Amino acid sequence: MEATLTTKPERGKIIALVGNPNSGKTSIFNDLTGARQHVGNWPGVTVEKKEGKLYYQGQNFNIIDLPGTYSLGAYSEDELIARNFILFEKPEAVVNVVDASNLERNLYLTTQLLEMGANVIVALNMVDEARARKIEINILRLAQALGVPVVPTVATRGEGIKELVAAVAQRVGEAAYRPLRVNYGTEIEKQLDKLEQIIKQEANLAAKYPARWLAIKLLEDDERIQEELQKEGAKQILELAARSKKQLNEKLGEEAEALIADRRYGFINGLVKEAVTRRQTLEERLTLSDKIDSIVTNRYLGLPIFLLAMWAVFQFTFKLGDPMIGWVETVFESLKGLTTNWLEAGGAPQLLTSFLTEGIIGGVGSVLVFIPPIFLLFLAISLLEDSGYMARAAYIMDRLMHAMGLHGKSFVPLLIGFGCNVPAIMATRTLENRKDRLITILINPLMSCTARLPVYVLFTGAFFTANQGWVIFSLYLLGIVLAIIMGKIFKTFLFKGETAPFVMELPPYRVPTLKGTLIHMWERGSSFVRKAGTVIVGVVVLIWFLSNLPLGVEYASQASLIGKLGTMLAPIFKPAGFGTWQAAVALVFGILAKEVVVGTLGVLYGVEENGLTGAIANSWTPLSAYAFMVMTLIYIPCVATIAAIRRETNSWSWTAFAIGYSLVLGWVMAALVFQVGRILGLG
Amino acid sequence: MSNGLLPLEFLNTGREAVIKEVAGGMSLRHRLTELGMVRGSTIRIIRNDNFGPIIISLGNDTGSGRLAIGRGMAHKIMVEAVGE
Repeated sequence: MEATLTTKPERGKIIALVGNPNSGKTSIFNDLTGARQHVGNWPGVTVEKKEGKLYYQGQNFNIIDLPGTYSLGAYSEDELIARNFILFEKPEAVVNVVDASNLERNLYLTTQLLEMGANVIVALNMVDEARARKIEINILRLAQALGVPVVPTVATRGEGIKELVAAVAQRVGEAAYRPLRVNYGTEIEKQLDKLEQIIKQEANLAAKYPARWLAIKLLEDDERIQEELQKEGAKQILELAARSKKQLNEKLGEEAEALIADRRYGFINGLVKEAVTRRQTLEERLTLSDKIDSIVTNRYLGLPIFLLAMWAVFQFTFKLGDPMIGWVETVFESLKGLTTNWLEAGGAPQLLTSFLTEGIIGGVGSVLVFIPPIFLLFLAISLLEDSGYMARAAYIMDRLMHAMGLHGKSFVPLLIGFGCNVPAIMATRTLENRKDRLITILINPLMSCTARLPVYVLFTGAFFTANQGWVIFSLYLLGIVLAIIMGKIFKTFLFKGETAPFVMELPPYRVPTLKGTLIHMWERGSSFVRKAGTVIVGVVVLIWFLSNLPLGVEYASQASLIGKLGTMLAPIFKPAGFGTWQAAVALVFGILAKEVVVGTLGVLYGVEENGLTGAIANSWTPLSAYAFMVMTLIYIPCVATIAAIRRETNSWSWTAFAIGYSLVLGWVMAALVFQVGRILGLG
Repeated sequence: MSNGLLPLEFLNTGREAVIKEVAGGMSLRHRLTELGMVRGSTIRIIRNDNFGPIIISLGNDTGSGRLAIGRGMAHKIMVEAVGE
């Protein structure tokens, strides 16, 4: 086949960015790539993939921000992604961001990178903080000991970035580097040599993995590697490794894995001793962070402070966001008006006008109204995260969340759910454990968001005027109780197995930078709008079609497809007390956004919104009304939430599961309320 | 006081100790190793309220790192108290 010759743009050199959480990796990434970033997901997993471009002296670089990890084992998705990327994608260079004020722990990752034979450039970040703590680092000596360039940086102020880029560019040109060798002691080295020799004889293995690295991993009992070798049919090597481990255990009386970790830390300690001097007394080491923490994490003050912070976030988001939602709505209303006038003046058919205004403009509008609260909320969350407070909030809430079988970190997303489930589900990104994250996503829609409130107000206004507040409160409470129960159920049956141990770094408090916070907010907000937007507009258009077909019917009447669908579905809801086609259609429309239920009922009963209360009072009973509110609370999350679930789980099956279980649960609860109520004579 | 082994969980705020043993599965040990909590590392209890996670600082002369450790985990980390 003759291929047409195209001038392909040269593939940028791939630079991977690796570092511990809280090492300032994100700041470095922002410094390097500026606005030329793009966020996606790693294929098949829920972990975020950030990429950015950098141009330097006529060269193109693609910067890949690998997930923040403490090591490159295979125990978490993050670690595996980072490790496999470096092993198999073979980036031209790896920038390892290291927190200068926390060198020992950060260098653990560095040694692993070096042992893998990666072309490492160390960005020794936050040197200003280290200096403030009287930690002096001899950069030249550190670079010599590691055998790689070390560039001091202060990423939040952009210091050292130019030098870093220059070092990367130079390093990419000269690929001659040799893997670091940590000396693991005579006995282990002997076994490593043996394994290395036999690995080198297997051409396919030797091509895939650095031989010494593979040998170390085998002694460390790395399960992933063992699986891989099983698949490759390298039985002989596995047997030899097992024998080596046994021999070491007999000779040294310890597991090889522990010995290797000891040696590695020994190597790091030696390195630090050589290159770092500290001149600080114990008093000085009790930092400002500790002083703040003694108040913020106090057993009595911690919770009130946390609740206050959350209250402030809510006020900020919704008080400031509500008028903005109003503006967006106004803009879209007038856009609709203008388009209608313009089209009608041009003699466009009525159906086209309706499609463009109700379908397209209405659809896009329903996405855009979410923008103000989402961006504001993410701004607030980014501030809390970047300042270091979020980790404390998780610490404080861990005590309470334990009862639910969840970590403290799950609390924040659940709380945000009372405002809006969409940003709440996106906020689960702070959870590093996939199981916890999925559970938190799945139970989140049970948190009664503000969009359900108009429905509650309508129905309680028709039937429960005397104790409206309590009835509404009972619905919120029902959501919480169900979330706890479902969380327990999911944990027990779907996500069996050992709970990940709770251990979390509490980073020092820092003043967040404006740039960092804004970039953070923008990333999360815009990625939602992009991904969710298509799903939402799609569903809105679909429902528009269903309401207008077959041609010539009155919009959303019983004769339209959606009316027929409602008529078909109505019997299903009979046990729950609201088996009318109007209720069914309202629920179908409610999938768009739960507040739409109110407007739909208005259209279907042919009354304006203020006449609706009367219409409801005539055709419903208090019991069926309560059952309907329960249904509205629980059944299928709104389109935007569905889109968020899809985006965050990166899986259609989990999305389908979320829709399915909530539909069943909603129906069961509504039917339960109605039937029990009838037995009690409330109907 | 004698310097026997005891779980980290039982150390009061302000005490210093050396990690001697981790009585846990592979994944727990691994998680601790990557955070720098290995045999022989010195830790200092920053806060132990006798419920909820414990906050420690790691290393006898590193100033910055603070870790929150769940109680279940702190129960499995055997330490030897230093001083007093």
